Amino acid sequence: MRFDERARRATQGIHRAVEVMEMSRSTKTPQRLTRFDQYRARTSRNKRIVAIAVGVGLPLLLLVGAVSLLGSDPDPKVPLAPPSTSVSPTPVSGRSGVLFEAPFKYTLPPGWTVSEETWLFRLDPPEAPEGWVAFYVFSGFVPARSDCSDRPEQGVGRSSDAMTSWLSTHPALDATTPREVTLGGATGSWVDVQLADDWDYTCPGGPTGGLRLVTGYPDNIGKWSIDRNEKIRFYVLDLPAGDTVTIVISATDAMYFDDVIDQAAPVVESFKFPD
Amino acid sequence: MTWTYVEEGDGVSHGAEPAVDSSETFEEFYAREFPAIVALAYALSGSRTASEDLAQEALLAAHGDWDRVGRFERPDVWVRRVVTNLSMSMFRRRYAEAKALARLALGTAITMPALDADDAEFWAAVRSLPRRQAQVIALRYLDDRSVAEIAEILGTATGTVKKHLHDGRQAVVHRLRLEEDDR
Repeated sequence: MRFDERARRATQGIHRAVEVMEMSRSTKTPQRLTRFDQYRARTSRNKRIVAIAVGVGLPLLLLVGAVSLLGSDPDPKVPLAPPSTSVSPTPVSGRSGVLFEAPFKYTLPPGWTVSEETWLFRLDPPEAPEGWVAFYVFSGFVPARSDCSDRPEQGVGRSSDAMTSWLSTHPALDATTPREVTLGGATGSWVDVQLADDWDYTCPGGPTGGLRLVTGYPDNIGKWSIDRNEKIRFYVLDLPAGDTVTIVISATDAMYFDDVIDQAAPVVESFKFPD
Repeated sequence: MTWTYVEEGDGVSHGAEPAVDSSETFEEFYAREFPAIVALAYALSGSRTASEDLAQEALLAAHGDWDRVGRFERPDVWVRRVVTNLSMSMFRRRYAEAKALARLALGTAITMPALDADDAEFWAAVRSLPRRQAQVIALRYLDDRSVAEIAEILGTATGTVKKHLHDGRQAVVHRLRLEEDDR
């Protein structure tokens, strides 16, 4: 076969695939456009927040500055402002209020970016290593059933030990033994998991070969699945207020996992949780 | 956001000149161009989970600057330049894939079917080419663009496009053991 004929067939294949996608979503076109409306709304909201911050913060700063000049000498050993790379995530709004009840801090190396979804924080390096999928931080996650129901697994606690022990003994997973960890003042444990080779159950309409592992509680909409070949490290930390923080670091394939973990390590080690 | 992937001749060609009577809304532009943009993203990224997000991101760039882009004589050229660069960017592709995975975790199914093995093999061979050769072949065959149009989209000379087209075709012919062209 000649190039032109092969290219023509391959082109038809792509167009057919796009047509199928369009047909399957033909009733949802207006919903696609809502993503742009959401973008507009978010941009508008951010502008309002900046305006409020400038309106309230600037006079306050001027006032504090004036008091400082008139009053005591500043301690030269204490920086007046936090490092510019130190980030305090804003509380994430969920369906019923704030998911991250205990704000925490972390430090990003230069070039890293933070994306805020409604139920998570996503952190990305400037140049992602091969196999990089995700570095997410979730709040209030619990083990999920394997029956595609998206409901919490019954009889498993919500603590770090309960979650990582459950993950390490999950019949669908090849997992490491949970190890204790202290991160930024919070204690917990971590475990590495990947789908067992003989696991072939798939939820109808769900990700190919994927298995739901954790889900939000009580009405957090977030969920996290593991796909075939994917390898994930779960850090689960117990916070004093009773909440848990789940950090997910994921590689598309186990062969890239160590590089991905190395890339994420400086940020993981920088987490600071309130006492 | 800085659209640093709009490279070489950024907006210098016809795409930068506003047309006086252009009154197409973004919604009309979106409805017309979306399938072709997704197809380009699919061919060049090889990811059926990420291609829709890459297309959305390219169109979002147009939407964010529609007051200017919408008055271009050919906003479709501008969007193709963005999506061809986005789709060849490993970081952007992986970010789009990760976003798609996050949606999958929320229970949203993939609606883009997988390609037949032969078609997938062809586009994989195209993606293995140097970046410009892959872009030129996708625009020529998938998007049915002339050499002149491809030169405008990629912001390069027509002679350069012809060379990339020739070299890319030859490489795919050898890789897939296709019959040699007579011409």
